[in-house]
Amino acid sequence: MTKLTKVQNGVVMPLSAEEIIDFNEREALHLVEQAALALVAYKEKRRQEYPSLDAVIVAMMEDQLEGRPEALLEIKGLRAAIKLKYPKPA
Amino acid sequence: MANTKISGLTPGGTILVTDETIINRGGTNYKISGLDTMALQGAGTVNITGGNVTGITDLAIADGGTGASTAANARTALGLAIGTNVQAYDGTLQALAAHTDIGLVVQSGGDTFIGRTLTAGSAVTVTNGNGVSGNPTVAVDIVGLTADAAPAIADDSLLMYDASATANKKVLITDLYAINPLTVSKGGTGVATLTAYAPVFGGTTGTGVVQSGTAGTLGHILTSNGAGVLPTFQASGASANTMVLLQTNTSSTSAISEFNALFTSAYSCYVFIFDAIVPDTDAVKLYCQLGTGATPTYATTLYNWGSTTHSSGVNYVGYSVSDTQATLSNTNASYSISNTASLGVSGEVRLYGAAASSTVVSCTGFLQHHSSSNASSSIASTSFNRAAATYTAIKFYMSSGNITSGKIRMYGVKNT
Repeated sequence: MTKLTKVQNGVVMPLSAEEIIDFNEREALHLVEQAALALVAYKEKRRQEYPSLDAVIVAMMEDQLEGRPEALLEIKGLRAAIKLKYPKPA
Repeated sequence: MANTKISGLTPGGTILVTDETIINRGGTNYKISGLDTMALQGAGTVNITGGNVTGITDLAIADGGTGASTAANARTALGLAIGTNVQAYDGTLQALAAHTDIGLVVQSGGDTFIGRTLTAGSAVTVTNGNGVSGNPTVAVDIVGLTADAAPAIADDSLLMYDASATANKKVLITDLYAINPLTVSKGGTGVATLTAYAPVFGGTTGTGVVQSGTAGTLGHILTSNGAGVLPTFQASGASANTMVLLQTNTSSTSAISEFNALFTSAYSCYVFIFDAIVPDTDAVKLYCQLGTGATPTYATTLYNWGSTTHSSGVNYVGYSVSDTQATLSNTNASYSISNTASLGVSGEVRLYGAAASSTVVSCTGFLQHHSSSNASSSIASTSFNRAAATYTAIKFYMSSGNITSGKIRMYGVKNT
């Protein structure tokens, strides 16, 4: 096992027993957090590819007030495709 | 007087000469008278051409004799006594007498002599080597020697005179180092050792003519401490309000980058410059804690921090009023720090009131890093504060794993 070290004032030195415990605890916690993050990562990925709120509002206004649904339909299709691309974990 | 012819003598006969007798021989008359001495026979004209002369008195040297009746006495009388006046015959002397070579005479065998000439060897000159033109002269010729451009100190020797042994000896060059250190007046230092990497200064009666200083701290400069005190390395920028480099931590698979015992009352603020800090674990956050004491005990409570980050057109806000550490990077889990080697965390963090026990310590930071999940860039504006204490240390670390590479430089802003 590789010896854990730190650099203090430019000098490399081994971690103390307390620091090693803290290091290991943080690693374990990180694994838990990453596992939890994986369950919701699809949300952020979808959000990044969804059209902006401004584009959605304009498309809705065009559909409701002007009877032009093209933009809204396009957004609906894009949204379905993105959901398919980033499915919610089972 | 009538002549009388004597005849009829028989062997053993006797002629009685009474007065004067004339003897005729071959027609010539010879007068014989007083025959008891040669004088009566004409002493000045006696020729002795045969026979023996015996029983006579030793013939004097002046009469052609030796004045002696023995050979030894005769040599002595003549001044030729062997061993006293003359050498007895000797083959060696005979050989020497026959020697004809010029130069120095050397006996090369029992009765053999040859001529020799002194000739010059290494480091020696000889004048009049054969002695013909004068006394041979031998002198040392150091100048004529071939220079040794690469002496082997363990094997090469010098010629010296050992006064204690009254003898010439050789000294290995390497043994010269065993002699007491060469004094300053002789071109040396007067000391056997000096401190590694430390500067050398003039000394005192107590320290010796030369003394070592101390190696100092990285980035510090040599500063005079006044008369009578050794100069020391000190942080540069002694003038007020200037920023002084205090320390540089270069991480190489380091769990923690820690700055300890560098907070002093000389500085009002500290600036930490992050230069491409890369974690070995992907999707981590950058943390910070403050410690107290000589062997720092790090506070693990009551960090009041908040950060605003911007990434991919979206702003995120993260905060805590009582955390176990301060978070300095993007707090959104999807935009945490990438472990890609070419990316990393860069920027700066400023710390105020670290060593003032009556002032709440506060920190502001402005950092940039990348997220591996979407390769987007995050710009994090962060800050934290914590209750007043005399903090002595600060450490930076990742929420998981090591810091693979990168530097953090710590500067102090000098007080006014």
